[in-house]
Amino acid sequence: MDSKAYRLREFIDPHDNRSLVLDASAGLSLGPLPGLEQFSTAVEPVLPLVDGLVASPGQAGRLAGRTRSDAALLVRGDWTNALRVPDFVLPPETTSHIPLLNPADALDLGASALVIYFLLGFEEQIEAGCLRETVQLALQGAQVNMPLIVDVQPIGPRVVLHQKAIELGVSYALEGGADGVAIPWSSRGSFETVLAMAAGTPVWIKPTTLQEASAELGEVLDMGGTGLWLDQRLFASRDPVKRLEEYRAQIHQPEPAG
Amino acid sequence: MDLRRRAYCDRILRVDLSSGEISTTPLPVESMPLILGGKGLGAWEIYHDQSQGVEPLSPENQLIFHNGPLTGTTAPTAGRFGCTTLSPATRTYSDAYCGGYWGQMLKYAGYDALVVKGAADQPVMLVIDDERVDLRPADHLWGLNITQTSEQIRQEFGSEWQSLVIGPPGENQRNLAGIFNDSRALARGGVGAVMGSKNLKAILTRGNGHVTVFDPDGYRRALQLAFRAVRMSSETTLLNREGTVNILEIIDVMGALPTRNFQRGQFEAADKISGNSFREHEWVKDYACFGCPIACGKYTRPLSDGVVIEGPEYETTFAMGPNCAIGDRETIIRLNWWCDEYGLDTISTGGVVGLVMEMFERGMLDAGDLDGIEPRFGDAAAALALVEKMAKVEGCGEWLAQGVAAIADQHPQAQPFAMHVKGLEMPAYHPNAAKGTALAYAVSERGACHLRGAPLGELFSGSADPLAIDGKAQLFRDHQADKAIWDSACLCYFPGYGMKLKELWQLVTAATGFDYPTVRDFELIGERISTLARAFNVREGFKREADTLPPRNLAQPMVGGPADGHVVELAPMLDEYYRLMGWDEEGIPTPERMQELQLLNEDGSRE
Amino acid sequence: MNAGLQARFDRLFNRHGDGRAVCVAADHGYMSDVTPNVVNLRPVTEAVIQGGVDGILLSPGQAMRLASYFQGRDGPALIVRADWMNMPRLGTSNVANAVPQRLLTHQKVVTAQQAVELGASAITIYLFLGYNDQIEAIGIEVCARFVRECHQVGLPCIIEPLAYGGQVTGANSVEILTLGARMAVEIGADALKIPYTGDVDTFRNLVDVAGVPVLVLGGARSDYERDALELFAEGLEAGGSGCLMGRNVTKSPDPQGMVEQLCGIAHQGWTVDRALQTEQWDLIKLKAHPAKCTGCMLCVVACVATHDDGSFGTSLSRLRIDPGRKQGQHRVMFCTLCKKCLDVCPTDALRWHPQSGAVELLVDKCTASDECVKICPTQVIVHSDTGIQIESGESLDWYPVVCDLCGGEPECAIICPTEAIFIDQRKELA
Repeated sequence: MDSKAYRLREFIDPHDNRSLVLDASAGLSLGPLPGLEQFSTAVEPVLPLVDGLVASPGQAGRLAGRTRSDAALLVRGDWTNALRVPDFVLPPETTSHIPLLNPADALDLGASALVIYFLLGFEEQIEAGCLRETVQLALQGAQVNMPLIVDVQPIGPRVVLHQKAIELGVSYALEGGADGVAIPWSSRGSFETVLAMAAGTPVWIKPTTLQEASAELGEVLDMGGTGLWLDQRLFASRDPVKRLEEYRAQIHQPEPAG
Repeated sequence: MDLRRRAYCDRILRVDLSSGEISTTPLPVESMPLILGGKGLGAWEIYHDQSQGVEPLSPENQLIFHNGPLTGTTAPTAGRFGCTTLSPATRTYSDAYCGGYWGQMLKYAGYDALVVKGAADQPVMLVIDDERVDLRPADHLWGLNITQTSEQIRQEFGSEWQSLVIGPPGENQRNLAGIFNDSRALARGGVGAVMGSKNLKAILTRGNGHVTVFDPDGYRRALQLAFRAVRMSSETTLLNREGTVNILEIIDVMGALPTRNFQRGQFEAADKISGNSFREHEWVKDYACFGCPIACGKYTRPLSDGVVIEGPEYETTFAMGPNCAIGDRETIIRLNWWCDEYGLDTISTGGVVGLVMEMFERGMLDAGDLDGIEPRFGDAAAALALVEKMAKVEGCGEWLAQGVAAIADQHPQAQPFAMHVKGLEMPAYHPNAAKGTALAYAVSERGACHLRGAPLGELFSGSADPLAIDGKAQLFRDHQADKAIWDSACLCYFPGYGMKLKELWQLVTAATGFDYPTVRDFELIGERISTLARAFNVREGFKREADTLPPRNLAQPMVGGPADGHVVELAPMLDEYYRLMGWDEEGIPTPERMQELQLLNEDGSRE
Repeated sequence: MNAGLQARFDRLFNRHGDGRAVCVAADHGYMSDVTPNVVNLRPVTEAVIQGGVDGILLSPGQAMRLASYFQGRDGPALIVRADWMNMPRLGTSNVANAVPQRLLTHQKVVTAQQAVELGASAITIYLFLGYNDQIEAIGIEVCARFVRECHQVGLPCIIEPLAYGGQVTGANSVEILTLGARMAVEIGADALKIPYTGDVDTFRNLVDVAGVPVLVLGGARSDYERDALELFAEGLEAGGSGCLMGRNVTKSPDPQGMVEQLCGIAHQGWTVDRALQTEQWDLIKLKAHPAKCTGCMLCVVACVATHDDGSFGTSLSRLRIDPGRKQGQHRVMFCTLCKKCLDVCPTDALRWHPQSGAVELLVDKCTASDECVKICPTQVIVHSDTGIQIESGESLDWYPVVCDLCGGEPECAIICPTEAIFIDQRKELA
């Protein structure tokens, strides 16, 4: 077993091949987020409850004092203004997407995986850039055994068919060499296609809303998906810890007795 | 040179409805390699045999039906035919093409073309039964719609005949009238009105002759390559799957689907009327024109009251759908049905309804003008009521069926958004989002037309940036020449998504034995014929001034979609186009160019 | 050529000692929408390997994921797609219309060194001509850089010239492809992947001016298996060295079978007929799928053109399209070998043809009684348009014209685009 598989197992439980990941890296382009204003304080109670935490390079560097039972660290490797909405303080006029880290940098930060966006529905150059980055980081990652997880974001104005755009994103990520993908939940049929393409590569779903997360998670686990990929909205919710406990229980059910 | 052993009949059937005289003349043998047939033959005839300044609805206007050398063989779509005339709607040269099953009948009957001039004083039908051609009374058919007329003819004559018929709009000489062969039509430019002005209700044809090609083995080989090329094409596969409506989604996504009388380029309910949507919910059987391996035609399942159509096409779907803000398939089918049943051009009909809706919403028309109908965008019942009136030429339908330009003439405040060029209503691609197509609309010989060289590939084949103007003049010029040859060989454009000019050149060379050493020599025919059509228009008084677009395209920036903010920068494209074609700044082909194209002799006399 | 380059070149082109390679392009998912051949990449890859494929083209990511498939001396050669473009996502080629794009984009993605590290025996890169000057320039730069990198690490570089864009017309597309082929070789390509020009003569010219091995690509898939095989065979005839076919193989219902056929044609000199192993039945009959008939009448005209003087028409056709009572009710009517005409003929002038089993007229016994014409249930026996003098000296004004099954290869079934009329085995002469 090579060290890439070892790293993947740090946030995908080898006993059930399932995973709960929390992406807290959006502050990189969106600034202070509701519930995440004090990053370390906000993140501390959730660390023991998730398998992996995605952090920006800056926050990753500051996450000291983690114990072995705390979440593995995944680091966000790119920046984009595409997640900004029109009423953001700096509304985007043109789309930008910039690579920040390569796999060697992720190693230095002690990360177990490098996470990048795949942006769909923007200008041709954005899409081309995402594909090129995916391929290069996957190849370089293979050299240093740093897994690459692709966060599929079909959020651009040119997206016509949401489900098919997700499938396209997954296809591109796999063709690029990704070791895992995180996608929005769409439907059973579409997820089946995604799993067929993935052929064993881990697939997380990003739930439509926190309210629907459990139900969607249920479908995903039932079909053989890997688990849940949450984002900053968790921190804005009323009781993040309680929610995470519920999701965790759903994902990593204890073995039935006997 | 015996043209009869070179895929032609070498006979033009000439019918003078005023005198009742019926005769035949041979083809202009020396010119045939230059003009090929079809569009080329029609343009040749009308340019040389019709004097300038003829009134379109007068007996002097010729109505010329033509097929091509490949017609009646097993070339893909070799049943297609066309007609050429002076249009009452645009007063320009106007040609229209049709699939269906009549074209090869004329060829088998032994004629490469049918020229109808004069006018009968009573309704007549022309009966062509191989060499037996005569005129018979058609009073009993006058007033009947397309279906009724065709049924009656079938009962009287039998089902082995094919006929071209007009309905009430044609009889009443309305600009929107077409000539129909069952579900297929010569639709645009008011050709039905010309036929109606001659009191000619129907042309029945039956033929038992055969077509002999020059080099049968070479032709067989060329056919093999052509059919294979047609099969190995994702576009023809898509056409078979979803008909012409297959492009609706991509056009909408490109922001070029004209909505609400071209106010916008995207329609909120586009997915309800997409090709996939029709395929899933409406279509039950494929239809192919004579000789066609693609079968883009589709029959709908019967509606609750039994209404069935062969369609709708993409253009019809746009015209009756987004153009009127109607996103309901059943309504679109019914609107299509009225047009097919009575004999109207669907593009122009939808254009009129869209215009009238906008005029009504702006208070330029009221219910009183429209027999109590209050048409707003999205109002399906109002649209159906209007189109029924137009189809039956009743009440307000009488002036509505004269078209957008005529309506705007009566209501000048509507001029800025009267979406036509030279009097022909605008087809289903928004010029502000497709600049090459915009140029084609402005320049095309029969008015705003998407089938005379508009480089639609800029929208649905990714061949160029649709919003750029650079290179569009050249792009249009190339496509215009290409289309003109296809219309002269008389094949449908759709096989052209698989086979290319090279395969067509191989077919024509083997069929006719004419000497075109390379494809480029063959390509020249296209520009020659477009220029001939242009020369006819110039003679009728058209020049640069008429090569324009409505203010909505030239001056009103698009709102929303990928083309947001765009207008059509026509002048630079026009300048470049004239320069490439060798025309002067007024868009008039120079004598040098006419000579180069062998349309004029050195002494300036006509070829 | 240095030793490494030669070794990798041979791995691809000299597997069978004949300088030919049957390769499958499985990089579609890298650039196109998700279609079934993309979803089923693994089973399709396994199938083509079973079929004996010489090389498989994959994206860099899939080359990593499917690395195990290329191991061993018997394994196929790996070709890596080293650049990326978005052409399949433009216009209606964008099959799913999920995220349409407008402008052609082309970029370099990996280095030759990275491709070697993936185990590649060659890389493939595009050269677009006919879109605009910038795209052509990007293509030249990509190609030139790669050729240099590739030769430094001993990796064969296959350039794929494509004629695509507004500057390509029906008249110049072959010329542009030929230009692209030559330019690629002048830049330093070791081999070419290129579309077939449509006929042997123009392709031979292209292969000649190239002077390096040319692999033909398949393009859009046809439903007729025969088309891709014929195209491939013609490519070889014109001097090509094989194929790098994508959709025609990966979207086929039987990719393994198709690769076996291509290998048979390339490496064992099979003809297309041999490859297709078209069933040789002793006796055949015509059958119909009535719902598939579109009424196009190609069968009728093909029938006429195959008989008599070879001219085209519908009169004297031995089959017909019955129009039905309303539009859309047409049906193809042909000789069903029902034997009624044989039985009704008062002079036994009709019999089964000894070879084809079709109805045959012994004209010297004919009396033009019209009985056969009247009894034919599909009404496909027609009067000839000329008279004939028979053996007895008598003259007949006409004689019955019957379907002869074209001697065993009915043209109607061959030309029918929808299989509305097709051939089936006939068990016996009833």
